[in-house]
Order: sequence, then C-alpha cells, then structure tokens
Amino acid sequence: MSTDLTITHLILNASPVVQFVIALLVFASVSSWSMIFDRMRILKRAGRAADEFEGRFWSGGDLAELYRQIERETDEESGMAAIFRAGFREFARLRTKGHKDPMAMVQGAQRSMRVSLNREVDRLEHHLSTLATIGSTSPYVGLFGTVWGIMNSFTALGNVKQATIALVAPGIAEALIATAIGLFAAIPAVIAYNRYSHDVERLNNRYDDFVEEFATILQRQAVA
Amino acid sequence: MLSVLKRNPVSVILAILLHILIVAFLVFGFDWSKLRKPTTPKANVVQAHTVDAKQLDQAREREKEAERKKQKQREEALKRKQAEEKKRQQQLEQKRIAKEKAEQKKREAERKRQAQLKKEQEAKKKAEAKRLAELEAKRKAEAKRKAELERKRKAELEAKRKAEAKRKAEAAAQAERERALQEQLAAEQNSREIDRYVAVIRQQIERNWLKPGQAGKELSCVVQVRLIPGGDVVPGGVSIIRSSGNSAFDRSVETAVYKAAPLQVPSGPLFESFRTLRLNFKPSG
Repeated sequence: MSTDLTITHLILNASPVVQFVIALLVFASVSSWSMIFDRMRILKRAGRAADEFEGRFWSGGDLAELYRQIERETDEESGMAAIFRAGFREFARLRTKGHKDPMAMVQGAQRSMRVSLNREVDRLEHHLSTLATIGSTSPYVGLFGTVWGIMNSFTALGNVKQATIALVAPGIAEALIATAIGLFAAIPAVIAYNRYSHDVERLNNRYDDFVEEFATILQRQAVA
Repeated sequence: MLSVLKRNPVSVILAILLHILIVAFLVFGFDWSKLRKPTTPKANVVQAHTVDAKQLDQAREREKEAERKKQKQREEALKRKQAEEKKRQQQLEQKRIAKEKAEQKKREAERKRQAQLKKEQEAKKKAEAKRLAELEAKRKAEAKRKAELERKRKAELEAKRKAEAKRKAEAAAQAERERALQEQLAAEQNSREIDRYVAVIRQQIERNWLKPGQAGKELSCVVQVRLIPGGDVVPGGVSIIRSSGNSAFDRSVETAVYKAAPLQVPSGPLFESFRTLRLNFKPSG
C-alpha cells in the first residue's frame, strides 16, 4: 500500500476536528501529569512534615517553647505545625485576656484548630477534582473524535462506486488514535486520583487525631 | 494547570518531558523492526602460523614415511581381511550346503509323510464309500419293504372298503325294500281309511239328498267338493264335473252337499286326500 500508516502521518493528515480533539487530549494529559507530579511532591512532604512534627510534639518539651521555635523557624507553615500554632496562639491569647472558664478556653482553641485543619486539607485536596474530571471525561472526548473521524471516512466512502477496505482503513485508523489518546490521558488520572484521595483521607485522619489530643492537653493545662 | 505552573514549575516540566518521551517512543519506536541490523554470517577465519622451510621439508619427509608405513599396514590389513573374508565365505558356503541338505531331508520326510497321509485318506475314502453303498442298499431294501407293506395295506383297505360298500348297498336295498313295504302297507291302510271316510261322507250326503221323483235309475253325476279342515264346504266349492243331463238332479245333489256340511273328515295328514273330493252319485235305492 502506498499510504503511510505511521502515527505521525495519520495525525498530520487527520481532519481538523480530530486534530483539535487530539490537541485537547494532549493538553489534558500534560496537565494531569503535572498535577500528578505536583500532588506527589506535596503529599509526600506533608506526610514527612507530620511525622517530624509528631516526633517533636511528643518528645516531652515545653509547649510554649515549641511554639516559639515554630514561630521562629518557618514563615509559611503547613500541616500539623500550622494547626498547632493556630490552636496554641488562640489558647495563649484567651489566657492572657484573663478568661477563667477552662472549657471556654479549650473550645476556642479547638475551634481555631478546626479552621486551620480545614484549610490544610483543602490545600492538600487542591486539583484532585481536576484529576477526577480528566479521568472521567477524556475517554468520551476521545470517543467523540473517533466517531467524527469515522463519520467522515464513511461519507467519503459513499461517494465512490467500488468500496474497498483500503478506502476506509486509514480514516478509521486516524480516528481511533483519538480514543487511544483519550484512554492514555484517562487511565493515569484515574489511578492517581484514587491513590491521592486515599492519601489525603489518611492525612486528614491524622490531623483530626492530633487536634483531639492537643485539645486534651490544653484542657489539662487550663484546669491546672 | 496555571496555578501548578506558578507554584511548582518542576512538575509541569516533568510532565511535558514525559509526553515528549512517549511521543518520541511512538514515532520512532515503530521503526525498530526496520532498524534491527541483519546479522551477517561469521566467516571462517583461517588460523595461520609462520613455519621454517627446513622443518617443513623434514616434516614432509616424515609425513611421507608415515604415509608409506601406513600404506603398507593398510595393504597387509587388506590382505588379512581378504583372507578372512575368503574363509568366512567358505564357511558360509559349507553352512549353506549343510543347510540345504538338511532342507532336502526335511522335504523328503515331508513328502513321505504327505504320501502316507494321502494313502490313509484314500483308504478312509474307500471305507467311507463302502459304508455309504451299504447304507444305500439298506435304505433301498427298507424302501422296498415299506412300499410292499404300503401296497398290502392299501389292498387290504381297498378290500375292506369294497366290502363295506357292498354291505352298505345291501343294507340300503334292504331298507328300501322295507320302506316300500311299509309304504305299501301304509298306503293300503290309508286307502282303506279313506274309503271308509268316503263311505261315511257319501252316507251323510245321501241322508240329506232329496232325490227328484222323476229321476231315472240310469242317471249319475260326478260332483267335486272343496273342503277345509274340519269338514266345512268352501262356499261355491261344489261344482258339477260331469252332469247327469238332468239339471234338477244335479241341483238336488249340490243342495244335499251344502246341507250335509260339515262333512265328517279325518284330521291330520289323512285330510289332504279330502281337500278336493270327487263323488259319483247315482239314485240307487
């Protein structure tokens, strides 16, 4: 056969709609992979930071000292350290204002910690929804490109008297590339989404536990 | 994606690099089958050494000597081999002859055995034939005897049958005679009876007969009367068959018959003779 059936050739010869779909899918794939790498780094860092902070927190040092250290060493806090800072700051502020009710002090600290926790989790979950969207829609986009390409090649087939498989085969092949790319974009996105939402869930649980434990410690101090 | 690019450009660059890699793999990777070099067959390399000419000569001489020796040995071996071969051939021949002789003997014995067998078979056959002939003769005699017996039996039967037939015929004749006699007797008795009844009827009629006065003695008429069982006269059943010539006389007879009814007739089979009755009347007395 004289026609060249390499992938490059097929893509360059495809109809504009199919080419557009392919470009869209390539863009989706690139962004999904960007997010995958980004999340990978952020989640790994968050997990490591949580480990480190828990080690410091449970080493038995003075909490005020720890707070001062944390204030000093980092400008942009994240993870458990941020939650700790928010809680302790609120607690200290309430104590200096001369509140007598220990329950109220603890509740205030807990509330500010909860807010900080939500912010942290939101930061971790950022972009995960985009991954999910790419994972679920790019097969359909690819399928759309394929259907469009096949439609075109059958229309061309209708204009000739003698229909041969050689007439439609290149068209169908080029159309199928769109589906292939759609699947190629979707599969890693779905896998990464599942993996990362699980990781975020686990981190969220760790933060929750920390909030409760810290609240208990603060209550003890307030009562004493 | 832009936020990611701003915050973490390394990831974006990594992703783009990954895609470029994949595309490159797809575009060029398909030509791998073409890129694979055809493997050239390895040539046989000759292992060469440098050799001294004298040594070579000596070596050649030695080789020649060795060759000659070898040749001689080979010839001897060949001779030995040939001798052995001859011996072997002779042995083989002897063996073959012995074998043939044995074979011949065996064949002879076989032939003898065959002849013996044949003879025996012949004898057997003869005996069999004899036995068969005897049997046949016996069978024939038996058949003859049987036929004779049959014939006798048949003759006897025939005689018996004939005698029986004769006896039967005689009996039939006797019966016939007896029956005829009986019949005759019966007929006689019947006719006597009938005569008696006819006389009674005639008397009955004559009692009711008013003879016309002028009737001469020579007048006579025959009247036919039809009767039913019980003796009643069928109405209109009285007819004059032979007139007397005197109508008054005839009429007086008719009237008398009607008057005399019912007539006295016998009952049973004897009545049949009285269904139509012919009577002859004469003015006698």
